[in-house]
Amino acid sequence: MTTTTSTHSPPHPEIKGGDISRYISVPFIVTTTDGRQFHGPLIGTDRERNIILGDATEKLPIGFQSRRNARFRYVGMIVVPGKYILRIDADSRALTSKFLTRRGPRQLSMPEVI
Amino acid sequence: MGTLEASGTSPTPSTNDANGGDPTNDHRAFHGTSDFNIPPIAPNYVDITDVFSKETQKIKPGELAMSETFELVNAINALEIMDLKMDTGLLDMLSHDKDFNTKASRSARKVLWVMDELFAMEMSWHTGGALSQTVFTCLYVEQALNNFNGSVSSAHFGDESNDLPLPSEEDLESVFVHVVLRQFVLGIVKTCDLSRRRLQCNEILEDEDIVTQTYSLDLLQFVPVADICTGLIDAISKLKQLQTETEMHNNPGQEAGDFLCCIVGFISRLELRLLVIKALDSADDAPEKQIELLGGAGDLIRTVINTHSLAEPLPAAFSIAIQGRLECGMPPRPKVGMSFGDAIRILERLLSGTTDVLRVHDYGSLGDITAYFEEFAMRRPTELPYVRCQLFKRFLVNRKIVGKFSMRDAVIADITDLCCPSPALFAIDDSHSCRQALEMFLTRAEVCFENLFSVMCHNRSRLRQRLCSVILDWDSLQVDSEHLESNHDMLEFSPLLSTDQTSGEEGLRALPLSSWVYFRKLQIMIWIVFMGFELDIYRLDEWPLMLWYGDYVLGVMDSHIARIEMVLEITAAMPPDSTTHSTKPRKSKKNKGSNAKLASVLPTPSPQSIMRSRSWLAGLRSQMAAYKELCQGYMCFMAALVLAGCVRSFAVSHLDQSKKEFMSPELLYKLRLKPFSTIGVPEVPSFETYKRLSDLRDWQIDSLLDNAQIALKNARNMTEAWSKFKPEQQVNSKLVQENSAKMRQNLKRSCIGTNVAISVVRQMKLQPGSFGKENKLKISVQHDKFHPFFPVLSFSSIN
Repeated sequence: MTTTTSTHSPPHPEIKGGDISRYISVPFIVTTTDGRQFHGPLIGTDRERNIILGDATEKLPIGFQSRRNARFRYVGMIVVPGKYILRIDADSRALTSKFLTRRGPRQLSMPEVI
Repeated sequence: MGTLEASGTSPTPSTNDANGGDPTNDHRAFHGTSDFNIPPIAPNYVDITDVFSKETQKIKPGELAMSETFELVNAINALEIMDLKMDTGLLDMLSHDKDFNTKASRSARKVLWVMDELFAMEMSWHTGGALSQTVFTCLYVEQALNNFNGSVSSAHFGDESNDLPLPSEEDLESVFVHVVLRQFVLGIVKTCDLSRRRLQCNEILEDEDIVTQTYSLDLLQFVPVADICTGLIDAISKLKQLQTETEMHNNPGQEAGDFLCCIVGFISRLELRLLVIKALDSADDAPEKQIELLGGAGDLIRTVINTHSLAEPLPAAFSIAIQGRLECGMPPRPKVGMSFGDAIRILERLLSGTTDVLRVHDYGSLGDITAYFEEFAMRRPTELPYVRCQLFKRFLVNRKIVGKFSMRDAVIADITDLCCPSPALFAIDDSHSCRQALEMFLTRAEVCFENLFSVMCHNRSRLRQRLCSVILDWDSLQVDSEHLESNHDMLEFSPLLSTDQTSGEEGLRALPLSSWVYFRKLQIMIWIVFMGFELDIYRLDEWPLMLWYGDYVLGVMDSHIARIEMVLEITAAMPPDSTTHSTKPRKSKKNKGSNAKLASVLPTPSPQSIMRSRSWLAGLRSQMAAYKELCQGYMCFMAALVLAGCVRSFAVSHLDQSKKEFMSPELLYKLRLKPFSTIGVPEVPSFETYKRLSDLRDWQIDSLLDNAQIALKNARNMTEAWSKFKPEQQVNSKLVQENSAKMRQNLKRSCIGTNVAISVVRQMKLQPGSFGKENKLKISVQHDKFHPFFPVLSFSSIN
């Protein structure tokens, strides 16, 4: 569920278009123009494709010489400006399962709860 | 993809202060992705770049598609990637510090410089810089900790944990790096670890006093101190051998001489590091042992200072790009450096402070310790965080004061010192009806009293803030004490004493418990008011108000002490075996008989105890009198300045009509006196009372200045009289004699300084409204060398 106006495209089993809300909370890998990758669930985005990832970890490009020991580093909540995004990958399993439950949680009625 | 941006327009260069002296490129010179391979994507991920881009186009401009749970407050901490001011990873990508080879041999002078710089970084950490901005910026530290896998031998400067560089004995420069510098680095890391563990206590506030975060790096936590010490000792003995050999060769020339000095420099630095580690490790040991250990530091520090000039800079050994490699969710922050001279001064303060706090063990009475804490809290500059936490840890050992006394003992000692109640009061047994109530009161009093010691170890600003909440506890304790002491069965300990002024059924009751609580509460209120001057909390136009209120509270305190003095005077005047006190006739017939019996056996305190209390009270009264007189001098001076128009009048509404609503004098009055507004007694006077009493209509500038100078002269005389108290008259001053004398000197200086300021103002020949909007007078507040509670104003005109 998001706060934008959603386009009601018909549900489709393939990952082809659809409401932006289906991408929220899906694990993303955002690759930036300098070769770094950021792994984390999508928290938000806007028209300019600026992406907010929560609990993100940073991965260095292969071949990059660094003094760092581990290749992964926790960075927390980050904003990746759209202009620096090279590539976006999403966890297909999470995307598909979200897609199937696209209409969001049902409003439970009292008899159902009891 | 040769450019930085995917869309093609180049980013605007940002001036980057986070770099400091670090060799990091302007990010436009970045080569792009062609040099590196993008890490492989896991098979369950699919490329949605185009699809996602299309979807985002459907979002309206200015709208954000976001998760339900996302709030704006979360966004504040979010880091913007590819912005050098926020992205520490980019800092790492662009930095050239990977070119620095920690395995390489270095000259003695360069190693000396690295050691001194690292030491300065450590002192920087003690004064508030985070480890990521200080100690961790050293690439040698980073390399050693990256390689560390649990055993101390793995913490070396090689590339991998297992690849321990073995320095050859012929190549001295490799020995200097892999033996001397390595042991020093391990020593620094272990020192930080030991300090850090001690600093994690209630009295030291994270981020305010010190930042203890280690960003998931292990500071050799489980490596025994003995192993580090052994390493240092081995390195020292190797160096001493080298020193002997060099001296034997007796090569002439400056270079040889400098080389020998470098060796001596290394030895002194390693020995000093060894001393510091041992001192930290034995921080809870017997005071004599600690003092002996710390006493050896002086000579070592002198040698370190003397050999510092030989050092040759190697700035490449330090880099803030480390922040891009740590588990740190913060934006890049600059390196927080310190000059070598300042670092030495900090170390000397640490060592002298640590030695000084051991004096609490040298107490004569429990009151000495309380006085020590009060004096300690007022020191300027405020003692370093490590020293403050060390004081509290030395004070409360295993929940006992200096390992021996309970907090109950301290409370009773304090009450006895002040009010000298009948010894029977604290000796009542279970047969007494008020035993339980008294027990509950004393338990509550213990908590309040202990809390007071704890807050006195905070930094000064936090201390004032905490005191504002502490007085509420004491106010509520006062209500309890009054309730307890007004109980019929407790009145026997406060029999009605007749004074010259009273007659018949009137009289004075001792009420020691309430008196003590009220005294401590008033003392805290005085501290809160006057610390506002010390910490520059009050605007200049608020000074008249706060001086007026301070004077009011000092007056209440003075009357209170006078009352206690009178009770003691009457008690002292009674014959020693006197048991007949005039008591009010008991209304209850039930206890008539037993009351008469109890009154006849109420023991009075010894003449020595009464004399001791009276001496202490005399000292307190002198102090209050001097403060009050000084306060009145300041008030008259400020009033003159207000009349002349140099300082805006607080009681008059703000000229700017738009601010009138939320800056009305009454509102500002209430806000400024808010900490005291819920206190039962003394009640905060109303704004109308203040306005009426601070009306300056009938005053002349010259007469105000005259009054000010008279008051200041009186204050100075009172301070001198107070300074002349003989040591035996100064109760509870065993640990604070020297510093109290200095404080009285500072008080005298405040009197003199303000007198001088008044003379300066007199020469301006001020008239009412002399200073309006065009002609401004610049007034600045001087704190240095004056009493903290009474800073001095200095004037310069702006034309």
